Amino acid sequence: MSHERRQILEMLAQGKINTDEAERLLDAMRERNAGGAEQATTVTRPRFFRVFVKGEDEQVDIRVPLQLIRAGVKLGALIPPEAQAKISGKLEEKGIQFDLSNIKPETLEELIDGLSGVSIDVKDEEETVRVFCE
Amino acid sequence: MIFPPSILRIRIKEQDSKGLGLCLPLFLIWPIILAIGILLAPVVLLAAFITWPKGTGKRLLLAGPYLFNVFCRVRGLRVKVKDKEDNVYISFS
Repeated sequence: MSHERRQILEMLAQGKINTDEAERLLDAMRERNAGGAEQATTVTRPRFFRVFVKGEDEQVDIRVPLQLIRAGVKLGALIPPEAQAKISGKLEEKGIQFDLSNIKPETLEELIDGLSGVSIDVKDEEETVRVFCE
Repeated sequence: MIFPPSILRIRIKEQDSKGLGLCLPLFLIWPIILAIGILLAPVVLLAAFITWPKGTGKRLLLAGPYLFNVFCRVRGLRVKVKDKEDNVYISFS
């Protein structure tokens, strides 16, 4: 039991407030807690995927909205299977093993949730590479 | 409610040149896109109806809204590339 809840119940037991007032206070406390939890989840949800590379003379900074990745995968799912197979074949010829059909909206959500926690930070004397979500 | 990007900013600067800075008001092409969509709708509907038995009809129907969704979600995309000589900046907002 939380401290605030105990205080309200103690005030009720001592007769400082009546049952209606106690109920109102408890409701207000519940609403506030629910609002706080909701706010916490929205704050932590990242909106952009960011890649930052800084070399001696060059610098690359790319910020991609995660919603764009979602929308792109949805659009990609419309590509007919025969065309997807051709694309995968061509990619494989180039040494890239990537099957478009493996990316489905459900798995994408898992991937994006996983990305949210990813933070790659590589730094040496000449270069800095950072990959993260913000 | 999602809106398409309204401004595209492009800045390209090469060494020994003044560079180029563009701020394109994309919101001006929203009505054109809408008009094209309305004009194409009957054609797409007919094509989807004809190709429905083959299984491509659904794809045809969804392609328009999904493309529009991608266009809308471009808002926020930003690319900055800089080296000793050149500087390129592209941003949708």
